[in-house]
Amino acid sequence: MKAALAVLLAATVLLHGLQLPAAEADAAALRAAWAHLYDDLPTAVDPPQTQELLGRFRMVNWGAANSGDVGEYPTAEAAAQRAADIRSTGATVAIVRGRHFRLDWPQDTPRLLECYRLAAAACHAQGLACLAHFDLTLTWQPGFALLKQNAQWPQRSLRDGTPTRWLCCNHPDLRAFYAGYVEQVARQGIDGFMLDEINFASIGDLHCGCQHCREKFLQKTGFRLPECDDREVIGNPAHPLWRLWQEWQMHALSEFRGFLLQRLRAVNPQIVILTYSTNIESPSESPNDTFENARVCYAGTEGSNLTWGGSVNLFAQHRISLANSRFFGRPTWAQYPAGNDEERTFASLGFAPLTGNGPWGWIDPAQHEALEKSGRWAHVEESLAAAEPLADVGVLWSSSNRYGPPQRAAACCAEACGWMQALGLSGIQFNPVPGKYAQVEHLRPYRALIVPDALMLPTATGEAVRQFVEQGGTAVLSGEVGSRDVLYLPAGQQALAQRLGLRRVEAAGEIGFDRKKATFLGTAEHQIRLEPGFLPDLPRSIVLPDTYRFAVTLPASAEVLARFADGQPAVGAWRQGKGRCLYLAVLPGKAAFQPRASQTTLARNWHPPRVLSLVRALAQEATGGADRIAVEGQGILSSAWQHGSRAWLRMANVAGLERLPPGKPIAKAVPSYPDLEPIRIRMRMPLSAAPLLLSAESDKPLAMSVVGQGADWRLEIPPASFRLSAFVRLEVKP
Amino acid sequence: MTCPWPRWTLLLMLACCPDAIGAESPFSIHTDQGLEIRCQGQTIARAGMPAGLSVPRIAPQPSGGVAAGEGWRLELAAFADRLEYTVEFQLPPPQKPWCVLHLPLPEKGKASIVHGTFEREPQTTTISQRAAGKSPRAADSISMVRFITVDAPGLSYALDTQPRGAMGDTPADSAGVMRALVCCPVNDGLELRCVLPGSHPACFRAKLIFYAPPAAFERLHPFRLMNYRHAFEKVVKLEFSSGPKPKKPYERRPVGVQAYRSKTGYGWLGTTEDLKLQSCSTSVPLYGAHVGSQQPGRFRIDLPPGHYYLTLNFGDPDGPVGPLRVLVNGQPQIERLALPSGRYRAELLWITSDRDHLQIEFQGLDGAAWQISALTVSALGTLGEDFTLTRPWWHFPQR
Repeated sequence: MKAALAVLLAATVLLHGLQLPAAEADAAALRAAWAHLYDDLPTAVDPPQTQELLGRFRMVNWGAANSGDVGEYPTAEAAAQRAADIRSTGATVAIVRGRHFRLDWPQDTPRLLECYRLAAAACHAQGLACLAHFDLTLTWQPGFALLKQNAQWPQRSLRDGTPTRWLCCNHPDLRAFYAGYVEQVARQGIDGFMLDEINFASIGDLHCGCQHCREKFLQKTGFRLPECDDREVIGNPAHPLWRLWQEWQMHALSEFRGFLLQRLRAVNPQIVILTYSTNIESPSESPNDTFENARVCYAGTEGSNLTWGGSVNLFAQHRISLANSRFFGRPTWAQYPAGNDEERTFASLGFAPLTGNGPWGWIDPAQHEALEKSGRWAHVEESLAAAEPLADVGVLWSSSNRYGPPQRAAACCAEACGWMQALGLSGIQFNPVPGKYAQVEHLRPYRALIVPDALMLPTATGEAVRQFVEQGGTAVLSGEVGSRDVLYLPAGQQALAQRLGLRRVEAAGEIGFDRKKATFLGTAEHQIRLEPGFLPDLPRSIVLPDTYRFAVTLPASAEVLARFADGQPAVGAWRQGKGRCLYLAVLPGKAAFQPRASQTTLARNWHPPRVLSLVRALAQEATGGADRIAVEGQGILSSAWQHGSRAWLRMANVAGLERLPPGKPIAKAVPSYPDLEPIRIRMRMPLSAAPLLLSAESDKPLAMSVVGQGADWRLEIPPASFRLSAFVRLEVKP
Repeated sequence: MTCPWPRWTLLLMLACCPDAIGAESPFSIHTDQGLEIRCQGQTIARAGMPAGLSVPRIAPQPSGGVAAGEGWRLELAAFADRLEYTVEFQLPPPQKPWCVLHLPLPEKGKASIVHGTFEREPQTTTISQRAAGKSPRAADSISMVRFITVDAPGLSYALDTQPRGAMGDTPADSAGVMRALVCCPVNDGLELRCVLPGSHPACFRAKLIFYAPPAAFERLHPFRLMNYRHAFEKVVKLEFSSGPKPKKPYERRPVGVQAYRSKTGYGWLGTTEDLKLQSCSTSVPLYGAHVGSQQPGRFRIDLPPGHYYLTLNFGDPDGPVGPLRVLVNGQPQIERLALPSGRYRAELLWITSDRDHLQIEFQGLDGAAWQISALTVSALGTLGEDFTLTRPWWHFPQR
């Protein structure tokens, strides 16, 4: 155990750049505590039946939403009919919702259990899985009897100890109560749970400062969080002890879910717990981290009811969500509470396949007759088939950046998402690589690795990137390059920049974010001039709007490939071992970043063609143009996938969104799908059969003619071959 | 089967204590023209039924009546100061909006409607009889109705739409009236309409309480913010220091050794000579000073009867705390607390108070002085608003 004050002093000194032996020792202890957080929480392994279920996950609501009473189908006959209707839509899972804040309905438990029993039995008879969705964390007046008996269950403010309405998952009695309740539900035949608000409340104040949380943190890490409102630490995302506390809270939430899963799997070994976050890659104070939860849960995202209008942003977010889950061996899901049939169609047929997630909000022809035909498309199953992303470009980002100082974190997140948006729109196939625990094995599948503005990067991940380059990969680095570690401690000589020979990287001005206005501060238009021979297909002068610039001292061996108007280096490249590094002293992802859409979002020219061209050219430069599959086409988002000898290129038409006039509220825009120009696809894979184009809009697959030989093929999809979405099926020789 | 009770009136004036059924009540119920509620002989409300249900026959109870059928139940219970109209309807889809209560506004009458979510301070909109008659438009509807006060020559009453007033039912639960009840101006007054969304079975469950003479919203519901993502509303925040008065109402107020005054509503009882205000060597909030004594100290906070969380902050950077003992309203709440120097503790206590104040007594143990740095009272709600632990939701047995 260490004295908190000594730690705080030491850490504060570190932040001010002074290196004292005691401070170094404490920094090492902090890092060691972080590194061992999950030693006692093994990643949950799903049995084969559960894996199969998650691999073909298409979920609809059993009845009403959270406000219902769960009793929509109160007889075996009514339940059987509902299950049959759901089955006929192609859905595979039904989720029973209602009486959401369950602690407010203590008297209703017997009836609810009977409803679950009926629903589960009916679903199973149709081959459907049946999940339950509720909250067992928040309570109002009807829960007072329970709360009075258990007055210490509420979470406590870290500042003054006052209680909140949310209950603490570290209280042993609540844990027992919670587990007992879900076990009862599981015994009715329920196959899985969506359990809301398993979190530490973070709006208005910071939680939880109860004795159980404090003691667990101390036991786990050896550090004591200040018991008073020490503003140097409490709520300061730049303080390493606070960062450790945040990381421990993430662990605590995952640990609680793991505890529940263990209890539930004693009832039914195939049970799964779902978890989600609304925002995946954006600044956050909430420690409910879907990446960490994915160790024990089937993790997803709450999605958006603006799937079409927000599709390019969601494309990046959902690809990240999938990568997060895949890191721990599972697929992902996303909810699409779309507002109308047009949105539902786009979400289910266009967007879910593109991002490789299992949709919740699957089109329900029983409720939406207009969708009946597309909902019963013969190739629905194939369009959503779980597969490996087929990509030669990895985009490495560290989720820790979300939890750092939010003014800076916003730019980090925008740069990472912006790269993915631009790559998706420019036809470069990529896969996000979670950087928090990445090792070189996770990087080897890629020819090139984008490392976008990685302010906070675990030092071990930095070493993995160095090894990746040394062994022949190409790294494209922008902005900061790991100058801070995961706890926001200065990485010093361990920084990735240092490992790669960059001698100085610093922002060339303010980088900020106004959270109230959701506006970036300090951005500017930056012109770069390409040196002769570099990216020869692009114009020599490119202007990147609304982004940030950095001052860099490149390695002595570096070649400057582009400069800012004032002559300072904008792009540099150098050899490192068998590989190569490209450093960008400007953030192209930020220049192509579409923020998450809301009801008030006005359309902008978020994706200027010149920026998309630059991103595409940089990616091709990094891979040597040898991508196994690349797409050229205006106004489409694409993603490629492979399972065994079959591969798919999935495409959705977002040209209507990209052409919205600036200033138009995208929430009011009706989804539109302008005719597409020819789409050219280049494949550097041996094909064993002619590719087929399949779309829900066409009754028959369209055989595509290809040009090429061996492992180098080209095909062209004629103009207007599909309206909303389609996929190309490729048969690949082993 | 015919109703054995005279159809034209169900409720008679009965005398009893003010909060018991059977009390003399200004309210009466009539069923000769639907279900009608009168106050001092004037019609103040006509109850409506969901589509498919006709006005039920009311079975009399002492000072009230009940009616029930498959999937529904209603009850009227009169008291000296109020009438509680409680309904529960299980409704198959599709549900059509219906008028739960029609409130005629007398000539020159006006209605003040308190409305809005629990997330922020409620708004008040006033509608005059003239305006009500003039513009019966859907656009004028007011949602999230919490309280209505009707004022007219010769008639005034209030209508409390429990449990929305303050304690709140589950916000996401349309079984509560939170989201379902809309107030619409109509030709001769107001309608409280139930509008249930969705195409699934639903439950409408509400308690509508008439008060005559009208009770004030602020008195019945002194704690008004129930945002589910936030903490319980902190209604008293004090620190035992000599700091300056705060500039903003939500900031913690320094109280030091100040004696109780009814004007402020808090302070030390008895002599304050034994109390010692001590500064500490830290600048962190709450713990920069504390009050303590070798003698027991009693601190009073005026608060209506209710359920509260009381948070007591103990800790001293310069020395140990306690051992000490704490009683609230005479009940031991902390039997023994001791902290070493430099350690801090926020003790959380659930207090149900049936009096108009909390009295917190601090006692040192084993010859030690007690001390306290800060306290916060978080309101769960008044006892009058509590239909879980304190008041019954239904008054009459189900038939």
